[in-house]
Amino acid sequence: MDLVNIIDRECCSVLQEKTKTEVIIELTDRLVGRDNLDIESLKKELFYREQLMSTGIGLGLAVPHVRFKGVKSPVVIAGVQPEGIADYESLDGEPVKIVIMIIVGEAQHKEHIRLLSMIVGRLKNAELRTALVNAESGDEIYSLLTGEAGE
Amino acid sequence: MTEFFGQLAERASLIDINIILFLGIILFGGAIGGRLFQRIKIPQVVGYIIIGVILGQSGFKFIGMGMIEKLEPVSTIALSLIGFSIGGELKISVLKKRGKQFAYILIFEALTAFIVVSALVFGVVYLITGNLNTAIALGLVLGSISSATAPAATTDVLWENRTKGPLTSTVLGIVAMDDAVALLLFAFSVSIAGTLIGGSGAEVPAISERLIALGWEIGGAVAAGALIAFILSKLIKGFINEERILAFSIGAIMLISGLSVALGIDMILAAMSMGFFMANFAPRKSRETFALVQKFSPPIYVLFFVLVGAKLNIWNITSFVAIIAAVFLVGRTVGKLIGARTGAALSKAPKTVFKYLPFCLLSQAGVAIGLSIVAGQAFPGEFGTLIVTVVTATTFVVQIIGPISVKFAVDKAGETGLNITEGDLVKQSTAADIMYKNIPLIPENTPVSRILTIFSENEALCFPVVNLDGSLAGIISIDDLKNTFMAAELSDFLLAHDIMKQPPAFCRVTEPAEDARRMLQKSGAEYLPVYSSGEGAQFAGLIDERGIQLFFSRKLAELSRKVDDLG
Repeated sequence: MDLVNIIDRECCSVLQEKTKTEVIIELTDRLVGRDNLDIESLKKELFYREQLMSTGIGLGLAVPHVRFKGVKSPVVIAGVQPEGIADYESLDGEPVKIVIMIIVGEAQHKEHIRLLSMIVGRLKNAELRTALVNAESGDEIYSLLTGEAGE
Repeated sequence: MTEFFGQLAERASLIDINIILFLGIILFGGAIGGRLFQRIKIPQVVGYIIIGVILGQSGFKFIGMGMIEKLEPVSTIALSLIGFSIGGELKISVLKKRGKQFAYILIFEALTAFIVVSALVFGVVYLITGNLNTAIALGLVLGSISSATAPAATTDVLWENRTKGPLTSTVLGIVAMDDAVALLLFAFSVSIAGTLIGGSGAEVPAISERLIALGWEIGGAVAAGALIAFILSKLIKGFINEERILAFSIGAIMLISGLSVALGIDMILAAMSMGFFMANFAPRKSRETFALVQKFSPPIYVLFFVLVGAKLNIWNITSFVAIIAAVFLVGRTVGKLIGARTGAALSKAPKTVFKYLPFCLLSQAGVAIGLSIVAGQAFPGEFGTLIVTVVTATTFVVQIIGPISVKFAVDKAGETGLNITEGDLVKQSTAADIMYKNIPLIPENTPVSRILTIFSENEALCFPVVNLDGSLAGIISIDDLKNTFMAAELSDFLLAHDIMKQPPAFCRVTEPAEDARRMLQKSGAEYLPVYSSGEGAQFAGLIDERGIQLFFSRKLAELSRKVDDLG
């Protein structure tokens, strides 16, 4: 499994919104039209998951993730908000600056965990996080995440 | 043959009914009677007999004497099947362990009943009639008949209740063999009675002649049974096909019972000997044979017991007969009680055998009635008729009371329901029995690190996940948990919600275990959630294959431990 095959360039962007709810909606809306997904239900699922426990795992990073019916192959949507999302309720209390959303098919249990683990592992790198926060375009974010720059 | 059909046709036209319809009514009525009585916790065999009484000589006379005689072969086959099955349960290992007990108890219970009944009947008859010879003769003959016990109704109760343990083994060993003792005592008694009241054209054989005949009856039976058992076990050795084994086995049983009638040997004993040799010298194949024969037997037993009831006529009882019958019953019960307990105490039998065996020896049927008829033929006239009527009356009573008291005894002795195979257990169990109950519910927002602890603290391999309002959201199995091991650093961020799966199927607590297991296998999942029945069903438990096996192996171990504990 390689992020290059999973992340689309169009799914990477510098975020417009600054609140948790708006950010999640903004990211989810990038999937409109894809696989005929029921976007409204997807949003509900994501919010339900956030309600159980925030996916803001600290270090300015949030990984909202769900398994969702109708998703054929795993989807990763990345967004960066340099100003920080203050209401994300992240575990270390810090505002979230990088949001990487992971959506996998209903039965893709292993992919789900592997992808999460891969992304969290990669973003443990402080240099990469800084580079991401300073990125000015979706293209730059894409390159950073897939390792095209950075190396 | 033509005569048989002629009479049948006559009979049938008389009540406008054909023999198959007739058999159908008996079988159906008997089965319903059995079921009704089972409902009120009385052995089914009592139900069969009472239906027989209602339809037969004492009741509506729907089953006429002619028909009963014509259906005699049914009784013959039924008794052979019963003998065969009893023989199959007498394992050599049990005989080695309990042989001494069997012998002591057998001799004491038979002899004491004989002595007590003889003495009491003698006393009462002498007081009423003042005729010494008649009193002694009647006492001896009725005394010897009183020593017999009927295996059929007794074993039916044992099988119905799936009993196992020392009491069951002893009862099976005794009820079948005390016929031999009864025959012996009867031979003596009739000879003595013959010399006492003789004349009157009675054909009373000399005692030596009787003994030789008896030796033939018993010895021949054992030998014939062994021979047929040998042939049958050789024949079915290579068979795997159940139908073929069944056909050969039933064939062999009919062969042995037919041969017994033809050769004048004891039929029950012959069938028993056949079962005994099959079970002990060809054990592997014979287990299947016995299981098949057991499955085949019930309708024949129903017919047999209905006919037993139909034969009894309770209306030709005079007050004299009633008194003698009462004396016979009391004497026999007391005699069996004292004798069985003495034998049990002397042979140091387990406590339950000492306490409850007497309750299992009350039944009388075919052999007692058979002997009374032989006596009736040997002493034509008042004396013979009296014996037949007394024995008919007492048989009626013990046929009804006997099975009930056997049921009481095995319940009290704690042997009910211990003779159970895994197959029976599956049939008796429901989803509620085989599911894991009281499994901790995992709230959806529980992190994986905490779930690991829950798994390590409980024996179940899967757990239900509930959402915040308490309803089932999904299930986590050990496999789902294993997936998270590759992301140990996430174990505080991943929740039950993220790794649970939706169960593909579910069932209710009332679902038979067999069906639940099939649903589980069909669904392809490792577990099957179980919901309570009725409206607003709640999550009740989880079934998985390991839990099912655990349940059955525990249950079987528990049962065999209980049997061992009984002694």
